[in-house]
Amino acid sequence: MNCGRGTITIRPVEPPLSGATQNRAMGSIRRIQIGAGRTRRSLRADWFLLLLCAVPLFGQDARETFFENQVRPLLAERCTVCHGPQLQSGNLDLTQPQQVARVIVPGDPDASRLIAVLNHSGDVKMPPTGKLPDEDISAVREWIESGAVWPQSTESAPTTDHWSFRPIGRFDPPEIKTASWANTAIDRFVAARLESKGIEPNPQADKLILLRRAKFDLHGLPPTIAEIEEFVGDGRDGAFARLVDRLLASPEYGERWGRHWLDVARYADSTGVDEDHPYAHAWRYRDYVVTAFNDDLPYDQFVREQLAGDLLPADTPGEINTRGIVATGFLGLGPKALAQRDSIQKRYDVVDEQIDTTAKTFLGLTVACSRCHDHKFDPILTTDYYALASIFASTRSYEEWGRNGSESLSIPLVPDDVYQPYKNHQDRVQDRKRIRSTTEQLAVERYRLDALISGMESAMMNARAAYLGQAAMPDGDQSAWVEFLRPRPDSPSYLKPWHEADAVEAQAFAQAQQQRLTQVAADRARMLEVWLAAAEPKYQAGERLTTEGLQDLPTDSLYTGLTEDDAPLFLSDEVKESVFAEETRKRLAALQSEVDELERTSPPQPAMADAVSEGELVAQHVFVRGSYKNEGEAVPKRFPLVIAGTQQPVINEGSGRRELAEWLVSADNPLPARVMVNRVWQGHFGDGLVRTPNNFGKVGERPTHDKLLDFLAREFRESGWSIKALHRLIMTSAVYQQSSVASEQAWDVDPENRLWSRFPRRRLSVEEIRDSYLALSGALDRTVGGTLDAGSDEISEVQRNNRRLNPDDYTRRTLYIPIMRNKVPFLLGLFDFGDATTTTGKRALSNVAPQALYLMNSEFGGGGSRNAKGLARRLAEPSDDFIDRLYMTVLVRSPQDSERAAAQDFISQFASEEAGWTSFCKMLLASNEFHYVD
Amino acid sequence: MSTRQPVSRRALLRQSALGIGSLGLYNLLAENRLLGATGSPLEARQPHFAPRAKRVIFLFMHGGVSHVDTFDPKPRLKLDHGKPLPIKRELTFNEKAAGALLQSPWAFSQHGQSGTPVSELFPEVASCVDDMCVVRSMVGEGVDHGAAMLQLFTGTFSFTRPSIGSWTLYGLGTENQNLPGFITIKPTQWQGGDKLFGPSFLPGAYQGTAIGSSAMQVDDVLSEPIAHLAPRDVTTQEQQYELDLLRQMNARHAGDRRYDQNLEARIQAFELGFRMQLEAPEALDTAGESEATKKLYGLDEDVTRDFGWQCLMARRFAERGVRVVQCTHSGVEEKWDHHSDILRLHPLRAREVDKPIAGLIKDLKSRGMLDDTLVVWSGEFGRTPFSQGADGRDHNPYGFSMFMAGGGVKPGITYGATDEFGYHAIEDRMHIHDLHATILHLMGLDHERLTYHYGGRAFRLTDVAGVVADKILA
Repeated sequence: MNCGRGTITIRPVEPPLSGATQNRAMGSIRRIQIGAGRTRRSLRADWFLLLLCAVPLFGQDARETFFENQVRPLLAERCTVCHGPQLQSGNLDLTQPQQVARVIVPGDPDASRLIAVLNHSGDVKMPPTGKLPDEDISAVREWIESGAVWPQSTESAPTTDHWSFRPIGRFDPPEIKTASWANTAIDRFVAARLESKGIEPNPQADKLILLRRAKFDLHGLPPTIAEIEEFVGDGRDGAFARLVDRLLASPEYGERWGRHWLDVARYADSTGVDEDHPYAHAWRYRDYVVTAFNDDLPYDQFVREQLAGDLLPADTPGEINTRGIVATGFLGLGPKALAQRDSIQKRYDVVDEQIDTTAKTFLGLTVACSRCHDHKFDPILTTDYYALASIFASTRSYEEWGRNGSESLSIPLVPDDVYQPYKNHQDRVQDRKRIRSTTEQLAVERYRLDALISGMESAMMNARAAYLGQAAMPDGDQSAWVEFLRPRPDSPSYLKPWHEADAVEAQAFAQAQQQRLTQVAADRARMLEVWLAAAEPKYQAGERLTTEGLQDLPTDSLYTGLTEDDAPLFLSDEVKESVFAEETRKRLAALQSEVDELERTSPPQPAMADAVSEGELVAQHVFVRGSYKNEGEAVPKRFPLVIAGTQQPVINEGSGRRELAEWLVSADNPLPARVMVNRVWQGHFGDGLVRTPNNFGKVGERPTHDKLLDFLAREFRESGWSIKALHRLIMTSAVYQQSSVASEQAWDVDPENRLWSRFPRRRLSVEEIRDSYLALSGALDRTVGGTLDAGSDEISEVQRNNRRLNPDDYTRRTLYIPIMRNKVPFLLGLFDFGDATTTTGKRALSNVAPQALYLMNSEFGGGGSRNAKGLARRLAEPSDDFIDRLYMTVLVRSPQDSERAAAQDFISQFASEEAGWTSFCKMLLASNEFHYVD
Repeated sequence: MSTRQPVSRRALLRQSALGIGSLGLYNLLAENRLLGATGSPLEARQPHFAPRAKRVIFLFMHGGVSHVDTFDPKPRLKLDHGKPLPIKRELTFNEKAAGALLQSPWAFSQHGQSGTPVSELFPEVASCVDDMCVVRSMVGEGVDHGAAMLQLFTGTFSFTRPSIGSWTLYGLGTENQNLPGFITIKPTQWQGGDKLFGPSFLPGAYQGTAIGSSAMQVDDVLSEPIAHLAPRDVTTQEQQYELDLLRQMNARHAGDRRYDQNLEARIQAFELGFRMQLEAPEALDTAGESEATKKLYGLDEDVTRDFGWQCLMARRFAERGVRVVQCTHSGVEEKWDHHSDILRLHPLRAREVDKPIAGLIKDLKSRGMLDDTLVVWSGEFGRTPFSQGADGRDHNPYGFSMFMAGGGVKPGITYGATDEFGYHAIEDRMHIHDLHATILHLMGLDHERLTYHYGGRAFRLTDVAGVVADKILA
C-alpha cells in the first residue's frame, strides 16, 4: 500500500489467482452474513496502518475530487453489483484498486481494456444491459487519462469553528443595571441582553400562577387544594424554593420528567415498522428512566447505563447488573423490521436507527446523514458513521437476525442457573404439547382414512343424487358432502370437473379422488407415525424435539378444502371424543395431564428485559452510498474525528459501547452537557436556548444566549451532573418566575421571545390533559411503575391481541399506557404525542378541530363524560361557593363576580342543575385557560 | 423547525416592518409551507404550478393482485407452462415453495377504442379502459407486505416517513375546512398500520382521518364513522349554550393576554369543529343518492356492497373538496394474497371490486369530475409468474401493474412493460418513487420542491429519487 499521500496511482499488476479471489469472496460474504470475519488482531493492524496513512482529506487535489464525484459513484452504481465484493464476475472487483489496475493503463485510455468494454467496441460489452451514456464513459476516460488517481482512506480530523464543537467556555455572569431584579446568575445573562435592547425586565408572576406553573412543570398535574393552601400559607422567604424541593421529592416528578426523556429515547412498547410485535418487557426501561430522574441519578451514569449498562458492574459485586441491562433498552427498544426478507438490510437499518438516536440524543448531531455520503453541512464523515456502525453492528439486537420472522432480543435478568431451568422447563412443556397434538393428529388421519375416505366414492355419488333432486337429502355426517359438493358461484376450481361431469364421469372422478386421498392420508399418517416413534424416546431421554418431518406433510387443495371447519373430513372435538379408540383417548388424556402438570410445576417466568447485548464482532467497511452491496474501505471502531481527533485509543475488546459511553461523558467532549442542559431548559420554558434540541450542527439554530448555555453546562458538570440541582438553579431564577404577560414593547422587540422577555405560555401536553382530567374528577390511579397488568412480565392482553388501546379504559397516568407504534392510541395522536419511532427533541403543537370535537363529544371530555361528571360530583353538593371551589380547583384562582353571574345564567338554561353543572365543568375543562399554563 | 407553530403572515409582516424580522425564519416557514393568511395549517395553498388534478382517490388492493392474470398478458407463460423459470429468480417471500411457470387460466381480450387488454377477471373495469392508463412496469423493493405497503404509501420501509396523503395535504391544504382534508376509508390495522396515512414528522394536522377499519362491517362503521362527531348527552340547543359560554370564557382569557395567536387558533378550532359536526354527517349520508347510482357502485349486491360503499364515499368526499381519499380493499386479512388456491380466490376478490371501481370511474366522468380527480388503483406488489406450491403465486415487487384514470393522465394507453414472463419491469420502469413524483406532479407539486425541514435537513417524499413519467401526462 502506498502511504505517502493517502492516494495511490494505479499500476497494472498481475491478475490475482482465482483461488485467492475465491477465498476473498467467501470471506467477504461470510463477514456480512454472520458478522464475524476478521480477527481482532488484524483489526488492530488495520488501525495501525490507518494512522500511519493519515493525511488531510481536505487537501485532496482536483483529481481525487473528480474521482470521488464522477467515477467512484459510477462504478458503484453500474458495475460493482457484478464486479464487487459480492460477485466478482470475471474475477474482477472494481472496488479494489489493485484489481482495477488489470483493466486500465493509467494515462492511456485507448490502451485500457475498461474503455474498450464500455465502448462496446469488442466482444465483451459492459454493462450488458446497455451502453453507458457518453458523458459517463468520457468521465472514465478523463480519469484514466489524468493518471487514474484512486484516493485511499484519508483519516484526519476535519476542522471547524462551529460554536457547538468548541470547548465549554468559562463565563462569569455580566454586570447589569437591574441587579435588584436578578435572583441568580442566569438572570444576569438574560438581563444584560434585555438591557442592551432597552427592554424592562418583566415583573414576577402572581403567587398562584407560579404555583400552577411549577406544579405542571414538575408533575404534569394541577395543584391540589392542599398544595394551594400550603404554598399560599407560607409567607416566609424562600417559599418558592421550598415548593420546588417538595415537588422534586415526589415520585410524580420522575413520571413527568421521565416522559420528556422517553420522547428523546423514542420509547414504545412494540417493534413498529412491519409486524409491530410487542416488547413485553419495555416497561422496565420506562420505570428505569422514571426512577433515574426521581433518584437524581447523575447524568453521566445515566448515559453510561443506557449505552452499555450490561457491561458495567452491578451495585453488588458478583450479581447481574439488572438495572444496567434494563437501561440498554435505550438501544433495544427502537423500531425494528421483523419480516423483512433482506436480513442484512434489516440489520443495518437497526444499526442506523441506533446511530441516529444516540447521536441526536447525546451529541445533538445528525450523524445518520453520513450513511450515504459525507455530511452536507456538518464535519461528519462517512467513515465516522461506519466507525459507529461497527460498534452497533457488533451489538446484538435480534434473537436471530438472519432468520425470516426474526424476534427482537429479550434478556433474562436472573442468573443462568435460574433462567436455564425455567427455559428448559418451557421447552419440555412445548415438546410435550407437540407430542400430544401430533398423537391426536395421527388419530384424526387414521380415522379419516378408515372411516371417511374409504366411503368417499359412494358418499359423493349419494350427495350428487341428493342435490340433483334424484334422491332424498342424506342426514347426519353425509349432509356435509352435499354442502361441499353442490355447485355454487364460489365453488373451488378443483370441483369444476365434478360439476361438469355426467353420472358416469362423476363416478370415475369420485373413484379417482378416493384413491388419491387414500394415498395422501396414508402418507400423512405414516409421516406422523415415524415422527412420533422417534420423538417419544427422545423426549424421555430429555432431549429437545425438532419439527423436522412434520413440516412438509403432503396435502393439496381438495384435501385442504375437505378438512376445513364443517367440511366432510372435519372432525369436531365431540366427534373425536366419540370416534377415537379407547386406547387413543386414554393416551391423549394422559398426555394432557402431563402437560397440565408441567405447566403447573413450571418455575415462574423470570424477569426479562428488551435490551441489547454484545454480539459477534464485525469487521466493518464503508458501504458506498449506503448500500451494503458496495463495500468500500475498512473502518475501525472509533468516534467522530471532528470531536475526538485522530489520536483515539484502539478499541480491541467487545462492541465498543462502553468506550463510546465513556467518550461521551469525558471532559473533552463539550456536546453532551450542552445538549442536556438545553433539554432541561426547554422542559421548563417550552423552548431551549438552542431551539433545535436534537441539532446543534450548522443547520440547527444558534443558542439565544451562548454564554448562559456554557455557564449552565459547566455548572451541570461541576454539580456532579445533577439534574435536580439544575432544576433548582433554573426555577429560582427571576427569568423563570417572571410573568407570562409582556409589554407591547417586549412583543415588538422580541416577538419570538428569544431574549426571554416573558415566561412562555404553553399548552398542556396530552399526558397533562388526560392526567389532569382524571385527577380533577377523582379517578386517577396513582400507582407508580409496573405494567397495566400489575407488574407481570406476560404480554398484556391489549398487546397480545394487537388491538388499538383505548386510554379511556384505564385510569393510570398516561405514561403507563403501552405505546404500540403502529397503533398509537387515538387520544395521543390527536394531541401531538408524535409517533415514537424517531427521537423527538420537541413535540409539535397543534390546535385543530378534531381536538375540539374530542373535548366536546367524547366519553373522556364530553357532556356525559365521567370526568366532567366526576368533577361536578367530587365538589359535592352544588352550593353558593361551588363556583368558587370549582374555579380554584380547575383554574387555581377565584372567579370574578361577572364570572359567578355568568355561571349561574348558564346553569339556569339546563333542565336539571346536575346537567347544568356537568356541562359547566366540561366547558371549564375545555377552556383555553385550563389548557394553557401561564 | 417542525415544532414551530404556523405564524400568520400578518405577524411576520409586523416583524419585518419593524426591521427585525428574520428572513431566514420566513424562508424556512415558506419552505415548510406553514404560512397562510389565517394561520391554519390546512388552509388551501397555491401549488407550485397549475395542477391537472385537484384531488386524488387511491384504491388500494391489499395483498397484491396478480398482474399476469389481470392487466399484463404473457403468452410466453402459456407456451412454457410447467417449465422452470429460465432466468435468475430474485429474493422471494417463500423461497422453498417456488415452482414452475404458471400460465394464467383467465382469458385476456382487448377492450374499447384503445384495445387495452384486460383479463376476464375485470369485465366492468375493462369497459373503462379508454379512460385509463395502465402502467405495466411498476417496481418496488419490499418483498413482504409490511415493507411493500410502507414503501407504496410513504416511499420507504427503512425509516418512518410521512405518508403520501399527508405530504399532499401539507403541500396543498384542503378546499373544504369543514371536512378533514385527507380521509382513509377502512384502512388496515397492520402491516404498516397507521403509518400508511400518518404524518410522521409533519405536523399532526396532516394526519389522515380514518373512517372505520378494514376488519369492520360497513354498518358498524356507520354507527360512528368519524370519531366524536355527534354531541353526547346534550341537545344541539344545549351545545349551543356550551359553545357560547366557551367563547365568552376564551375571549376574556385572550383579552388579558394580547398577541398570543395560539389562543386564537384554539378558539378557531372549536368553531371549525362545530361546523364539521354539521357538515360531515351530510357527506356520509347516501340516502339522497339515486337507485341508479347505488346500483352503479354495486350497493345492491352483498358481494360488492362494501367496496361499492367505499367508492361512493370517495366520490362524495371528492365532490366536497376533500383533497385525498384512500379506499382499502381488505378485511380481517389481506384480500389478494393468494399463495395457494389462486384459481378460486382471485375471481372472488375481483368480483368484490370490479363493479365498484368501474362505477366510480363512470360516475366521476358523468359528473364532469374525472378531469380534475385522479383515480389510482394498485396493490403493494404483483405476483410471481411462477407458481408457489401447486396452485398459488408468490409476491413480486420486481414488476407489476397498476392503473390511473382522470386527473390529467393520458387516457386509453398502456405504459411500460415487463419481460416476457412478467417478472421484471424492463421498459419505462416506474419505481414507486416515480409514481409518487408523478402523482405529486399531477397535483401541481414539484416533488423536489415539496420539502420539510426536520432533524437538520430537508426531507421529501421521493428522498433523492423520483422521475415524473412525462409520457403518461395528457
